[in-house]
Amino acid sequence: MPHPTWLAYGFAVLMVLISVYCIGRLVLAQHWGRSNHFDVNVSHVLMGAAMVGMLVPRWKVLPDGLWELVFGVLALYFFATSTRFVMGHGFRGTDNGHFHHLSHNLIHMVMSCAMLYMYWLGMPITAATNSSTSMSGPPAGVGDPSLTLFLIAVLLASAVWQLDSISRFSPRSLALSAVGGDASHHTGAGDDPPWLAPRLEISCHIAMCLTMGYMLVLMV
Amino acid sequence: MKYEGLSAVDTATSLDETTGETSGVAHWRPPDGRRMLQLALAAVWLLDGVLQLQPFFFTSGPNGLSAMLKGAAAGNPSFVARSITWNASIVGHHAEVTNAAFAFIQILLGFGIAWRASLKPALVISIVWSLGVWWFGEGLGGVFNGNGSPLAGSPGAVLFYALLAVLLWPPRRPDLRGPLVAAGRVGIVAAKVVWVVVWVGMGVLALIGSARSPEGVHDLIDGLKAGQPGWLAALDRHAESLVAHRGLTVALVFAALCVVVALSAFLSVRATRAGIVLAVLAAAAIWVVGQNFGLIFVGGATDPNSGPLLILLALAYWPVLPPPVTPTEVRTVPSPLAVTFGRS
Repeated sequence: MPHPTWLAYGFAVLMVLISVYCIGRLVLAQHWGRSNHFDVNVSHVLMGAAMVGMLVPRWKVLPDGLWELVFGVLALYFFATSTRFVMGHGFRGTDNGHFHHLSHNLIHMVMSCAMLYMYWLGMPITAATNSSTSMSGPPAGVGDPSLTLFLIAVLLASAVWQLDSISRFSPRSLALSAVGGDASHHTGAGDDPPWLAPRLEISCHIAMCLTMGYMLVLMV
Repeated sequence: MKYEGLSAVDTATSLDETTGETSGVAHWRPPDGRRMLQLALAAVWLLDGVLQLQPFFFTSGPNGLSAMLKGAAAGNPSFVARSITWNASIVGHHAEVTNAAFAFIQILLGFGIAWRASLKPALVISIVWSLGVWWFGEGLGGVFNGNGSPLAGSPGAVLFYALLAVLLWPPRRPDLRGPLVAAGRVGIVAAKVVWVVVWVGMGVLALIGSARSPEGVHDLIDGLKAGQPGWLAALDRHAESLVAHRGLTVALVFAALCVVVALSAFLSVRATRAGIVLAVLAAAAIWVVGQNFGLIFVGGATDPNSGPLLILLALAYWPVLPPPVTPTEVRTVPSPLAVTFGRS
């Protein structure tokens, strides 16, 4: 079914920007000695680059088989970190950030699996032609719609959950945390260096969830 | 890397809460029951926006969004039908632009509700948008054309979005916990009136709608089967055989259930909770069997229909017992009348 190519290009450009930004984060965090979610940013770079290739095939940087390998490894990595975290801290933590920490690993595992799922079903895409609408269209009806919609629901729930928590990192909240003496991690008041631009990292995650949700919904 | 600092924010902000009126950037605290329901509402809006990005909706003509909108005009009063047809023709001429706008408005509503700083404006806009979609997109939910059945989503799924936006509005003082989440701002009397109107209204719709005919419910389910996943189609077939020739019985049973649920709000806490469990189960059954999850598995659905919204609505009425009051807190506890009416 025809689909606007400008939309695919729009999401592709967004993914390019996020990938470039996340590469910048990895470099700058190292350079400035700031804390950073290394694994998350690496996965955002990889997912962003892969989705660009899905959205606009001529911007593909690696063959599909290699991407499948990459996301298989990523999914295993996040599964291992989630398991290690649960074994170390249990399902129910002692602090309020426990669920956020666990969900951070789990959602990236789900995202890696979603990427694998799209590659396995031969997710090509929409912006292959020069007209305003693609004539080839997305592979609607492929895969199991229940699983596809489950993945979409998980991704969107994660986006909403993360957006709700973004206000924790506003300057005022961080100042209040510092007053309470329990935010050394964010403010740099303790041993840990402060986290590099947490709100931007969360925003990148939200944008990735939305873009992945869009790509998955084309398959329903 | 750990996400820390939450309890500190809580401790520090508790001093500021007397100023009230905050959904606030600087007042972050872990989501409570009301916030969780707001986030669920945000997720549904976001899902609606993403569903609206399906290729089907970007096409014009008989297979596109405009045709779907035009179909909502049938059977409505002429002035309503004319306005729906007028809107559908605009959408038909500019399918790409209008559909992209519809999708992004819904995505922004989801993000707006999820981001605490924009919660209130997003809730207000969601009410306006919902009412617009109810009129132009759902043809007033089939209330006036005689085809409306609560099993199929009548009086309109989108109406529940607006209702939830009102009931989940942040209370004046976040530290004031009312007996129900839904009573936070509107007060318990108004909240209970809404509950009764919703459930009695659905009961009445079940009795006056076309689904009460002997084959009404059977035909309704039969119309959903095409293209569904195997497990859901099999469930539909079982349900069909169960309700064949029993449309009126189903309508009567459903209407009776609606009355029981409506009245449960005025009984003891235990009975109210039983009523809410019943409401959740009924909504889930409607969503699965009567609506097939809003037909989202077959493509071309703009929302998951009324089932999940009814569940959210019911959860907003779950009675919350106030925490025990310690002697030192006695002076700060508001009067029972203020709690009852959700006012400070």
